[in-house]
Amino acid sequence: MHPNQIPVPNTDYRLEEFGDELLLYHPSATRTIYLNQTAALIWKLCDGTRSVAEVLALLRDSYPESAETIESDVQSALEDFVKNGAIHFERVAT
Amino acid sequence: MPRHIVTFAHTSVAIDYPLGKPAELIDFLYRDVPSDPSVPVGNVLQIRRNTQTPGDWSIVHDDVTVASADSVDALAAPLMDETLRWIVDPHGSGLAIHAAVVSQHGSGILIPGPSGSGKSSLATWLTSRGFNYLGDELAIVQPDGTMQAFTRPIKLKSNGLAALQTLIDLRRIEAQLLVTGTTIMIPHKLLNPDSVQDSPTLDLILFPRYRHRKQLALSAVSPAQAGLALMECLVNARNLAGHGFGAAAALVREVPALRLEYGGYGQLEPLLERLPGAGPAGPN
Repeated sequence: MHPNQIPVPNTDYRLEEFGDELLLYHPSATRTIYLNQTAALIWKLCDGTRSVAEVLALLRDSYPESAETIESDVQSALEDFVKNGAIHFERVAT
Repeated sequence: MPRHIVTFAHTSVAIDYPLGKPAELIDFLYRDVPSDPSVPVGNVLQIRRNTQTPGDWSIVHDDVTVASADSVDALAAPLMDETLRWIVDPHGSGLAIHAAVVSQHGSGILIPGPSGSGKSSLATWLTSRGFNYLGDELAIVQPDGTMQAFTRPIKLKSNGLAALQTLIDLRRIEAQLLVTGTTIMIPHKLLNPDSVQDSPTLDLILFPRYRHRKQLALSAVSPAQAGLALMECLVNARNLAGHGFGAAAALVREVPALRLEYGGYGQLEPLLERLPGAGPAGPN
C-alpha cells in the first residue's frame, strides 16, 4: 500500500449505517462485513478520490490525540477492505 | 403407502412412509407441526426399506436417495434435515433464520446461532422454566415482527444427557426420548406440559455461546454486530429482496440484542430477570 494510492470502494457493496458503526453486504458473494467506529470512519473517507496519504492527513487533523495509532489503524482497515474485496487501489496519484 | 403432510409458513412437504416403525417415527417427529392439506405439496420425501439389504432404510427425494441408515430411528436426523431443507417457502417475504424460539405472554425470544452454539440447550432450559417452546432450528420472522418456528422435538447432543438430568428425571421419561448416535431428541412437553405454540412478537434477540464450564456473561450487542450475526444465520437470503440485508438491518434497529455466554444450566437463573415476558406464570 503506497501513500499515493487511491482506495476505491466496490460499489457492489450495500451499506447500512448504525450510528457510528456500519455493515457492508456483498450480494453475489453473500458476504457481510462489520465495521467498528474507526473502520467505518476510514471507509467513509475512501470516496475514490482521496489518496491514502490524504485519508491519513484528514484523520490526523481531526484526531490529533490518536496520531500515534492512526497510520496502523488505516493500514489495518484498508487491508481488511482489500481482503474482502470492498476496495481496490486504482491508480497512483501524482 | 400412508402420507403425512408437514405444513410450515405456507409451505407443505409430504412424507410417504410404510406402516409400523416408520409411522411411529413420523408421529414422534411431527406431532407438533401443523398438517394443512389445503396447502399444495411442494416436495415429497419417501421412507423406503431397502429390499436389497434387509434392515437398511432410505430417504428418497425425486427418486434420489438422500440418506440411508441401518435403523428407522437413525433416519430421524436426516429426515428432519431434509424436511427443513424443503419447507422454507421460496416466495415468502419473512426472514428464515437458523434459530431457536421461545415465548411467554406473547413476547418472543429469537435465539440464533450455528450448530453447537448452545441454542437448543438454552431453549431446553428456558422451556423447563415455563417458556413456550416453539422450535430449536428454523424460525421465520415476518415483516410485521411476529415469528413462527418449526416445532420439532428438541435436539441435543447426547453428551448433554448429564445436564438434562438436572432438569428432569431421565429414568421417568427414558422411553419417550429418541437417542441415536450422538443426538437425543426430546418432546418439549416433557419439559413444560403447559407449553403452547403461538406466533409471538419478536422482543429480544439472544445470541448464545456455550462453552463447557464458562462463566455466565450477558452483554449488549450493538445493532451492527447483531445484524452481522443475523445475516450469518439467514437461511433464505437468496429468496429475498436485497438478500434480506435491508430487512435484517431494519430488524436489529428495532429489536434489542444480547450475547449470552454460559457454561451450564446451573448458572442461568439470573438470566430470567433480563428476558421479556418472564414473570409469574399466567395465561399464555
